Amino acid sequence: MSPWAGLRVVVIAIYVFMLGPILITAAVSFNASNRSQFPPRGFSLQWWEKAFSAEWIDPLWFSFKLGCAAAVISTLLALPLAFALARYRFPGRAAMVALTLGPLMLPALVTGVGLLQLFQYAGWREQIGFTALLVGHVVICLPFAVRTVAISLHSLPPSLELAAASLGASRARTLWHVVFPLIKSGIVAGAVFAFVHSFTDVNLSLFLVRPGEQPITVKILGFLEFGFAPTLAAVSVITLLLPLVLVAVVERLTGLGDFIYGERERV
Amino acid sequence: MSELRLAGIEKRYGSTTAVAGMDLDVRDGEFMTLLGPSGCGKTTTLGLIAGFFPPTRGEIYVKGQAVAGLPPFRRDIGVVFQDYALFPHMTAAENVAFGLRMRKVDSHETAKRVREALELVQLKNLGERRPLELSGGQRQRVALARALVIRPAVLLLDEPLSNLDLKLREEMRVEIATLQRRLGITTVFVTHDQGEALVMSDRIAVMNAGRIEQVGTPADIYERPATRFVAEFIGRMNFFGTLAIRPERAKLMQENPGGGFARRGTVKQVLYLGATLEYHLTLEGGERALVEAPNDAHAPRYAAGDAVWFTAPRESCYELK
Repeated sequence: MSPWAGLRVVVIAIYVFMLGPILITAAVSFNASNRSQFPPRGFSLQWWEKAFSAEWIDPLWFSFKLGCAAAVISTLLALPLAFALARYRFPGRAAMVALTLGPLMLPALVTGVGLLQLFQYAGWREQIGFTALLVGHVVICLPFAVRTVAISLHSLPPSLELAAASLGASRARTLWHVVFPLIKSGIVAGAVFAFVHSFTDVNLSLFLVRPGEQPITVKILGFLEFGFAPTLAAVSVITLLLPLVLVAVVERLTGLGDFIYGERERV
Repeated sequence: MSELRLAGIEKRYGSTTAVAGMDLDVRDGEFMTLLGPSGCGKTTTLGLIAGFFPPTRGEIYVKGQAVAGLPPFRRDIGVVFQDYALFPHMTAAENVAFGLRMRKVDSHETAKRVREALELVQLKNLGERRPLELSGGQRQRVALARALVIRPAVLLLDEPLSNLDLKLREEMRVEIATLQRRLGITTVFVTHDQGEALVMSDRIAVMNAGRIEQVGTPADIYERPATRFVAEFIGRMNFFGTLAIRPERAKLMQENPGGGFARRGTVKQVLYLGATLEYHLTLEGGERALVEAPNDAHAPRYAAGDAVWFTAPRESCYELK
């Protein structure tokens, strides 16, 4: 067997195991019966109708808002952090690297429990729900945003900033006219990763929800305790498509793929 | 009046000294080259002049004004970088216009000056290209136009030719030197290539270990090196204790002519280089010596094993400190 044939088998296997379950879920959501059968019996849209009821749309919308807020805040925090880490050597730098990458190593579950206790001891019980979730999501999304922004900064030759300065651009104008335009795709990539990470998180969110303020993942997990209904299949498909559509749109607008799969050649 | 003056400039990073107390005067319109091996402090000196980092000690004067405390964007200095540092998201014309935009020059004037600058470097028709769509030599020209268009008091060139292939490098040497003289712009050029330094400069400052070893015209530096380092770094040299003789000034003779330097020796190897012949000798007493002889049809040829005299007239021998 040639190595290409071997590679083909691997790629096919990846597609089967990645896309297979999704296609099965999608098919199940069109069942006419109320059992999650595959292949589906008959065809109906009743489960999709249920999926678009407030019961499911509310947590979906909640997740979307939470993801957007977490992505924006963690990216805004990531910019100065990544800049400091990529450009300067200073005392405490190692500690800062550890702090920004720490949440990546820690199970989000542990972070969730910790945050819950913090909010309770600090008397911020009222904030459990959206605020606590946002804090937690920013913490776990920050490493993704910092990494992607730092990578794009590293790919920028320092001479570009010096050139701008020698041509009369102050620090701020150098950032605005030279640095930001060139790391734009890195910033957007960081924000998209942060959004997707927030949108798909369940481990941390589990501990910080309150009635009426829960993301879709926690809602799905809760519903699963009563068994798997075709409604869930329809909801899962929606939950899956939302970040995919977002990534596709952003890819179209900014060339995200170029950032992930190798930079365009730089001069 | 000197256009650029370095007075006791020093740059230390922790315990390492990159530039150790340097004094240098660059005259109005002069092409001054900082020449030295890598790590000699020449690029650090350039960074200090541009203001990319502050000196540990000393002052820098541009047109008599002390600038050591000013950030780079408040100094009147144009820089061409080794990697050109063109902004990849801007066209060639936008790159050239950048410095004028930062200086809030009005758009009409900007357009005119950008056009002139691109014409100056013979890129009139390539203004709309992005750096990626330009060749190495063209990028170099854009970088030059970008630094010149702001009409800086001093132009700094950081090894701008080192990324070009040999033929283009030799063309650009002449082109940059000609352009510099035509504009009369005070220029500091950094290189480790002695050939570039000799061809392009009005004066050369030879640097070693953060210090200037000698400042002088190319002929001064080559023919009257002040130190052994300068003598060794530029061209090739025969040393006999503190006495130095250039290989092309020495001659092989059958008899000792007298009246100059002469040593008996044996030809060990002859290298045929086309325009010249290179004789490698071992002298009496075991010293090695090198003679570069023009490939002259009438001159006697020697072969390996021949017994010869290594000679040089007195005016071609110099004492080194």
